[in-house]
Amino acid sequence: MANLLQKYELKYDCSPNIIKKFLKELFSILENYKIDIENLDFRIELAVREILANAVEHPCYDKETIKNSNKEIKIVIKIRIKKDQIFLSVKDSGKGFDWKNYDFQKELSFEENGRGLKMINDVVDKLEFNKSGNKIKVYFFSDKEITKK
Amino acid sequence: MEGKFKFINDEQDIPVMKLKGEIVFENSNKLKEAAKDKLIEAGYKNLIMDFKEVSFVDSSGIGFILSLFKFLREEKGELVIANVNNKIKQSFEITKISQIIEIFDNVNEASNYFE
Repeated sequence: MANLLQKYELKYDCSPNIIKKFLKELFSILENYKIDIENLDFRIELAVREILANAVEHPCYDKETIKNSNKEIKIVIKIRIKKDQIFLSVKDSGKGFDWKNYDFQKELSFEENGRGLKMINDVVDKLEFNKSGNKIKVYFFSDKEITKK
Repeated sequence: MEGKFKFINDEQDIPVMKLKGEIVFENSNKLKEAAKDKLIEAGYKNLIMDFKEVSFVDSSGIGFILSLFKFLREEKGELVIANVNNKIKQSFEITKISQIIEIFDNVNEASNYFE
């Protein structure tokens, strides 16, 4: 892939502490590139926080997942820096969720929960899931070519 | 930075909840319980949430704010917000929270709202 500048794969244990840890890692990676994507810092931070909160919240505390898991529950994050995009995927070992029936255009509500996916959808350029819903992929596209510093 | 809060009610007519750090998934439930306990204990009806020292709010943080908003509304009171930075403002716009909660540039303006 001529377009690819660099790829990274990181694995984390199931813990809320990984959110801050990964954000630090991500921003230190992005610092190595000249990127001109509008409002990227806020958009990527919000997306990552929401994605990892979901990845940690559900499988890490779901008794069924823990019971059926032969090995330690891990969260696998892949980053691809391409000339025209930043791509992130996050896979957890949970059973996933029914994303096909989720309302991503959810309007204003007084509910305390259930906004995370809508917020992700609003800040990324493209959002995809695998069939079972335990892997999420997000894309941030760039009109200007991303280069190494 | 860990999320924290303290209430200030010495000179202001309306109690001010000064928040500090990030209001996010890792701390929002703990903050919510602690804040509600304090509101019940003090018997506050109206509240200004001061976000001057808050750097980030995610969807759990929005849930925290709405939880206190609904709690005070049931007490026939009102919650307003002051001093939000640009990132928090964007989170509020995405979730449309600014359509239901009054947001002011500073605590003085928020305080005037209650007069």
